[in-house]
Amino acid sequence: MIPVSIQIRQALDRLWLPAMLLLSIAIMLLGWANQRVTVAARMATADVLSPLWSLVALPSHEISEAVSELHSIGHLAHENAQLRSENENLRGWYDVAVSLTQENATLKDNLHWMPDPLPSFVTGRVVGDVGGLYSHAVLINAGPANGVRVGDVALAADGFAGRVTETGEHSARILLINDVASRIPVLLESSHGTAIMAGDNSSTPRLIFYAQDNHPVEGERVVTSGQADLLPTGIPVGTVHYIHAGTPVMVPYARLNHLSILRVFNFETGTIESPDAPGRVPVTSSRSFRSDGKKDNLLDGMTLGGVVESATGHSPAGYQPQRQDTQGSEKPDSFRTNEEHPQNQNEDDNTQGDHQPLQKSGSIMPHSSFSFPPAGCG
Amino acid sequence: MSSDPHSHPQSHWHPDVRSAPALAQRLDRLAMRLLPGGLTALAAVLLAAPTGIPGAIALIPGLAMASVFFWSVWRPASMSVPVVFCLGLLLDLIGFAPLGVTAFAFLLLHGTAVHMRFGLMRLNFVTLWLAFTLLESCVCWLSWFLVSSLSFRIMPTAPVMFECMLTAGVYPPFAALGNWAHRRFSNPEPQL
Repeated sequence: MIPVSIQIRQALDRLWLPAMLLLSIAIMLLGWANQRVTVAARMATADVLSPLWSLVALPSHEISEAVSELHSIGHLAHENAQLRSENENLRGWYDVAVSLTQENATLKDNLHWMPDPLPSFVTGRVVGDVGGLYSHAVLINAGPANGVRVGDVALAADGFAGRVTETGEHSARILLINDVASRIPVLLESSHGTAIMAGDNSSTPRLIFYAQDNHPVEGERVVTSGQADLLPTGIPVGTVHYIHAGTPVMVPYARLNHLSILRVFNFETGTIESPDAPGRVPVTSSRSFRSDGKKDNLLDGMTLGGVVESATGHSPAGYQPQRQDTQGSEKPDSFRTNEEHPQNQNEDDNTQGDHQPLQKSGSIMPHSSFSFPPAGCG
Repeated sequence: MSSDPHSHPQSHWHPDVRSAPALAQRLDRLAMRLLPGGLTALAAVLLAAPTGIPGAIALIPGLAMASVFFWSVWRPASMSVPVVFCLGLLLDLIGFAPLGVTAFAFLLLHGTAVHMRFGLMRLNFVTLWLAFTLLESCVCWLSWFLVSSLSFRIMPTAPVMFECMLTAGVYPPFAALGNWAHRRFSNPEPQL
C-alpha cells in the first residue's frame, strides 16, 4: 500500500463515486452502441452461473416433485377414477387419430405431398429464470455445442414457449412468448384469421392486428402461422380468451411460469431457396441445406404421425431406416417431379394423370406406409 | 515472510512479528468489507435459479436495494462504491436490463444514502423506512426511465409500481437481519 496522507486518501475516496458513475454511463452507452458485446458478456455470465443454477434447481425440483407426489397420494382414488374415464375417452380419440392419420397419409400420397423437413431437436433443462422487471426469459443448459442456434423454437411439453435469442457456450437464452418484445404471427384455427400475438409481460399475450371483419372466437385454438419464414405452421400455442369485449388474449398451453424442461427445435425454415431468376443478383443463403443432421432425429414430435407413433410404442429404431431411405433417395426425386409437375398439370389429361402417380408411388410409398398396430394394443 | 527484503536493515523491531497479524487483520477486514456485498450477490444469483418460489426474480432488485441502502447508511465501509458498482453490474448481467442501468441507479442510491447518512441514522425506524421507500421509488423510476429511453419504447409501468411496493416490503425483515449482523460482526471502518 502506498503511504499517502489522510487528506489525499479522503480526496481519492471521494473520487470513487463520480468515477464509477461515469464508468456505468460509459458501459450503458457501450452496451447500447454495441449489442454484441452486451450479449457476449451476458452469455459468459450465464455460462459461468448455469452449472450453479442447475445445482440449486435440482433439489428444489426434487422437493416440488415429492410434494406433488404426497399431494397426489391423498387424491389417489379420485384420480384413478378420473384417469380411467379419461382413458376411455382417449381410447376413442386414439381410434379417430389412427384412422385420420391413415386417411391423411393416403391423401398426401395421392396429392404427391412434399414432406415437411424433419425438425431436429435437443432437450434442455431450464436452469435460470433470467428475465427481470421488463422481460420474461429463461436459460437452458444446452447451447451451440448441442445444436441450439439463435432463432430456434422452444416448445414446452404442451405448447410453444418461446424462441432462442442468445446463445453462450453451453447455455441458451429463450425469450418467452409473453415477453413485451415478443411478436409471433399466429393463425386462428376455426375463424381462419391471422393475428399477431404480442407479449405484454402478463401471463396472457394479447392478440393484435386481426381482421376487423373476422374477430377471434372465444376458445378457438391458436397455432403459429408460417409467415415471415420464422416459424413453421401449426405449432399449438394456446386458446383465445376475451378478458373484456374487444380485447382478445391468448391463454398459452405452456405453463410459462413453471417451465422445467424445454425442447428446442430447429425447423430449418430458412433453407427454402427461391429459384434463380434471370437478371437478378443471386442471393447466397447463409445456411446451407442440411441433410445429414436430420437423419439422427428419432421423433417427429410435431406431426400426428409422430405423436401416435410414440404413443403406440412403435419402436422408432425400426421405423427410422425407412425414414432415412426416404430422406436419402426420395428427396431428389420429389424435387424433380415438382419441377416437372406444373407442365404436366397444364397439359393435363387423364392418362398422364394415371401414369404419374404410379411411377411416383414407389418413391413416395415408404413415407406414407405408416404401419400402425391395431388400436387395442396400445 | 520472515526474510522480508523491504524491511529496513537498521530496523530494530522484527517485521515478522508485526506483519503476520497485520496480514491476518487486513484479510479479516477485507472479508468484513466484502461480506454484505458478497452475500447480496449470492442471494441474487440463488434467487435467479428456478427454485419455483413465486416472484423470486422480482425480489432480486428489491433485496439488493435494501442491502445497498442499509449498509450505506450504517456501514459505508462494508458497502463501498466498487462493491455497489459490481453488484449493479451483476444484476444487469443476470437480468435482461441494458448493461449499466442498475449499476448507475444503485450508485446514485448509495451516494445519496452516504451523503445523508448522519441525518438518516438519527431517524427512528418508521421514518427511515419511509425515507428508504421514497429513495427506492426514485431509483425504480429512474431505471424505468433509463430502460425506456435506451430501448426507445415506453416500458409498462405496472411492474415498476409492483417493484416499488415489493422493495418497501422487503426492507423491514432485511433491516432486522442487518441490525443483528451489524451488532454481531465488528465494524471494518478504517481507523484513521
